[in-house]
Amino acid sequence: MIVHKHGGRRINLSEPEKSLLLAKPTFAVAHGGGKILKEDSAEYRALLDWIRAGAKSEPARERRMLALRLTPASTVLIGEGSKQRLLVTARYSDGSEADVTGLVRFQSNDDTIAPVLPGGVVEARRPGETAIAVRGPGVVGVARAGVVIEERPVAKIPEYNFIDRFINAKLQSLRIPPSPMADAATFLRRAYLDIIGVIPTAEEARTFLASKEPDKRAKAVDGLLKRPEYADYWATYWGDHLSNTRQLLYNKGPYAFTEWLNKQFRSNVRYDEFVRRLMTSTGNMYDSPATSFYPVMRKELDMAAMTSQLFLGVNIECARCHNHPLERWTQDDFNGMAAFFSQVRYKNGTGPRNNERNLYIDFTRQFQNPDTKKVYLPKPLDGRQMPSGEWQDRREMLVEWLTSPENPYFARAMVNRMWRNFMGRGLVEPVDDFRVTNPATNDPLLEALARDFAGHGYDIHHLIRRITSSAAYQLSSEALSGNKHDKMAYSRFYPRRMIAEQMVDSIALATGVPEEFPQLYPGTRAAQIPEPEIESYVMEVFDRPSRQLICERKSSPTLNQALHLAAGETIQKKIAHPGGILGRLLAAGVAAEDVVEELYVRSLARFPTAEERANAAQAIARSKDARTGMEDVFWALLNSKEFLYNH
Amino acid sequence: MRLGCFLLFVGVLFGAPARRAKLVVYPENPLLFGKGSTQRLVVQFVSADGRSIDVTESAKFSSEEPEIARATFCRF
Repeated sequence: MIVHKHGGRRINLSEPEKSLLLAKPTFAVAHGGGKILKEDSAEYRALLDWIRAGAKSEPARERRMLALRLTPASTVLIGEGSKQRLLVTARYSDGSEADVTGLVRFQSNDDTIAPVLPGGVVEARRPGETAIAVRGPGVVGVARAGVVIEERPVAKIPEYNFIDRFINAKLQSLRIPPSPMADAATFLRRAYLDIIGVIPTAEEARTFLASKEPDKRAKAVDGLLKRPEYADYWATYWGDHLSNTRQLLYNKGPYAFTEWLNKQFRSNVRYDEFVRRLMTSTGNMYDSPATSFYPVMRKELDMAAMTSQLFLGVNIECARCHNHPLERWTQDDFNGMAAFFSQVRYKNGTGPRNNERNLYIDFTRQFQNPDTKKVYLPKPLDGRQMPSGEWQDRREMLVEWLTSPENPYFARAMVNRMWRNFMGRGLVEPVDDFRVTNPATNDPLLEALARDFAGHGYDIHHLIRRITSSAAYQLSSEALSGNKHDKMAYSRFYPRRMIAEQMVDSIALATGVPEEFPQLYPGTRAAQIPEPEIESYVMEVFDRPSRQLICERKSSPTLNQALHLAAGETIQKKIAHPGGILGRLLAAGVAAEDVVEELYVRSLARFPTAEERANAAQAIARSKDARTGMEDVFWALLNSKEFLYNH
Repeated sequence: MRLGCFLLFVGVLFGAPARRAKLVVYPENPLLFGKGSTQRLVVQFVSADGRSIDVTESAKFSSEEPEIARATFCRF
C-alpha cells in the first residue's frame, strides 16, 4: 500500500533519499505531522536500506519473527545514574538471527526504578527491581534490571525452609537489609488474621505468650487450621472469587454454595480435587451446590476466560476478539478453551424449590464461535487439540490437563494467590495476570513453591504451613532506612489494613459485643455471611465486594473509613455497651490498671509497656470519671494503626 | 565474508581485578546472517561477589579471524 498507492509517489527508487516516506517524517518536506524521524537514526537507515533494495514487500512465507531475546537477561545496576546497555536479538522462522536493538521499543515496568533511555540503555534511579520488555510483531522479550543505590553488607534472614534461601538471594542481590524477626505477639496476631480472619482472644494470646515451647509458632498454626473459623474465612475468600451472590444464584443459592465451600475447607480437600468438583459438577444448585460455579459464566467464551483467570492466573480476555497483541494467546487458543464447555446446558427443574435450574451435559453439542460460526474442538492453552469420545464430558478432559503436575500454570497460580494472602503482595501481581511481560519478582521462589505444592498433593494446609513457618513470613513490619522503599523483595512484612470481615469480627471479639446482621441469627460472624446482599454499612465502608466481578480485596485506607471508626457507631456503641467487656470488667470491680492490661491484650494481643500503662493511667485520672477514661483508652486502641492493620 | 566462526577477544584494564571476577560478552555466541550484517556487543565486568558493571565503552575488541568478522567500535 505504501509503495503503490497514489501512483507510487511515496517511494523514489532512483533517488531513495528523496522518497516522501523519508522526506516527510524528517521534515525535509514541510507537512502537518512535524519532524518525527532523525536522519542519523537506525529507523531512518532501515527505511532507506529497504528502499535502496527495491522496496519489496517481504512475503509472510519468507520468514517470521519467532522470538526476541534480551541480553543480559538479568542485571543489577550499582549506584544512582549507572547504566547498562541491553541488546535485543530476534530469531526468525528460517533459523536466522539478527540484532534488532535499534528497531524495537523498550518499556520499563517501573520507570521510577530504572527507565530505558534511547538505544536500550537502562539507567538506575532508585532501589528496587523492574522488568524491561521489548515488543515485536506478535512476540515479546523480557529482561530484569535491579538497582542498588547504596553498596553495603546485608544481613541474611535465618533459613527456616527453602523459601528463606530464595528471599535471601534476592535481598543480597539488591542489597536490601531485612527487618528483624517479629516478636511472638505480632506473629500470633498475624497468623490468626491470615489463617482464620480474626484476632486471637485475650486468653489465647496470654497462653501463647506464656508458653516456653520452642515450636509454639508451628503448633499455633496447626491449631488454627483445625478451627471452624478457618473454613469460614476461606469460604469467604472463594465466595468472592466464584461470584457467590443472589444476583446470580437467587435467594437460597448462596447459602447452599457457602455451606459447600465451607465443607471443602473443613475437610481440607486437596486443591486439585476442589477444582475438579467445581468444574465437573452437574445437577441443581441445591443438591449439587458446586454447580453454582457456572451461572456467572453465561456462555462458553465466558467459561474459558474465567477458568483461565481463576485457576491458571492467565488473562486471555483480549483474545476473545483478536490475537493478543503482546502475549502468545490467539483467538484459536480462546476458542479451543471455550470448546471444553460446549456441553454445559441448563434446564428448569421440577422440584419444590424456586429456580431449580439443573446443569446437565449434552454430549452431542459442539462449540461454534458466535461470530465466525466456525466449530472448534477442545484445545488447552499451550496444548494440542484433544479429540473427545462420544460420551465424554469435555470438562473432565480439561480438569485432567489443568491439574496435571506438568501443567506450568495451575500450581503457580494457586501458590501465588496464597502467597499474596500471607505476604501482602503476590510474587506475580495482579495474581490473575501471569504473562511474559509481567514476570514474577522472584521466579525461582515461585517455581519452588509450586513444585512443593504439587509434590505434596496440592495440600492447602501444607502450603500454609510452608509459608507461615518461613522466616520471611515472621519478619517484623517495622521498616529500616534501607528497606522502607522495598515493595517486592519481602525484606519486611508488608502491613495492610484488615478486610471488612476481619475488621468487623475483630472489633466484635475485642469489645465482646457481636455485630448484628439483618436476616441472620444473632452471633453470626461477618465471615459467615454467605452473600454481599446482607446489609451492613460498616462492611460497605470497608470495601466488601459485590461479587459481580472477580477482583482482589482492596486494602488501602480511605477517609470514610477513618471517619466511621472515629465517630461512627461500630466502635462507639460497642465500647459503651453495658454488656461489653468494659461493662463486665467494671461490674466485677477489676482495678483500672488491670482493665487497661486486658484492653491491650484483647485488642493487640500484647501487654502494654510501662510507658503505655502510665499514659493510660494519666488519661483515666484526667477524665470526668473512670469509665469515661477507660472508654477513651479503648477507643484509642481500636483506632490505632496497630489494631486496624495486619502488621 | 567467509562462512565460519570466529573468536572475539575482549580486554579491559582494571587496577586490581578481584579473584574469580570475569568479563562476560553479550550475546554469548552471536551468529551473523548475510554479508555486511552487524551485531552489537555488550561487555559486563562481573566481580567475585556478583556485582556487574557495563564496561562496553572501555573494552577493546579484537577478532581472531578478521576475514570472517571484524570488530569495530561504535557508540550506541
